[in-house]
Amino acid sequence: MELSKWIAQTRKGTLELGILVLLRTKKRYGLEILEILERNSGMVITEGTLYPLMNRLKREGRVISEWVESVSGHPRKYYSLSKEGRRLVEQMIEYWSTFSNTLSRLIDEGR
Amino acid sequence: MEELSPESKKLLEEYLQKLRGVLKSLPEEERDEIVLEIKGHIQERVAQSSQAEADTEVLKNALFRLGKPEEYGFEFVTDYLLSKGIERKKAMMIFKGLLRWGCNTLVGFFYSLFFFASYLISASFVIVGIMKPIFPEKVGFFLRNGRFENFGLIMGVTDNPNMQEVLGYWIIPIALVIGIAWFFVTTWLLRKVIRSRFGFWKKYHEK
Repeated sequence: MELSKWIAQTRKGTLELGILVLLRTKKRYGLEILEILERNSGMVITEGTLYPLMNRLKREGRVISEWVESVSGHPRKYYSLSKEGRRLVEQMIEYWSTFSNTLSRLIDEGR
Repeated sequence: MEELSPESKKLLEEYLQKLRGVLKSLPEEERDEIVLEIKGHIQERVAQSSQAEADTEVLKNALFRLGKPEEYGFEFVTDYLLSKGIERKKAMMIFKGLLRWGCNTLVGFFYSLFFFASYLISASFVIVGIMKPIFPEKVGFFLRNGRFENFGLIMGVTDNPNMQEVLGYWIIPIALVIGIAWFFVTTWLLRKVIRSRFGFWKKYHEK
């Protein structure tokens, strides 16, 4: 029980980073982001919660969105990083690598 | 994409109608955009499935994975009311947002309680200032035998010889200033909380 709680918290705390990192390379739409998150990282979230989260990121000016007509016929809402979001994600990544390196070293030393 | 069966269409329409209902306090433009995005998500999920499956089953599954509109729709509205309310200084929006937030999560409940209480305190100072000219004898800064007794309105008898009123009409500007300052400090705190609660990035940003 304790473990699953910790895992849930860790996931929640890193979810935003995961999403912003995905947008670093190209613009993506909601379902695409969900599928990559599910496939790669085990960062499973309730699908419904992704959309309010994207909405909030947009409200804060981290991401911008545009509607693009898709081949399949329905319009998709694509998200990409804003200038500020791009700066932020680079800082987050830098922090994250230092942080995880330190943690790994700590774990190794304890062996 | 192939057409949905009438049964599926009805199911989808009902779901989106419910979502619209949850989002009804948003401006029309924002609401339509959210509904359109969710609709696109569902349609794409259905289109992804193999032909062999019945589309109603696929649709039901997609809706299930998305969750109930009430569950995630609430978040759009709370976000909107609090962030726009603060930005535009609309007390009613903030009030509604706090109520929603308070009903939604435990953390929100305690924050809302705190802020409602704090605004109440601020209002009571202002009320003391307003009441003084109306009930000059009953309102004041009272000492009993030189020790603090009451700041504000005294209900019972006030001609007790041990009781002293020390501020006179000075209580009006003092109470008003405290009340208004209290209001601004509360609002400043609320703004900070909303920014940090509804803006995770700040933590990384400011170090």
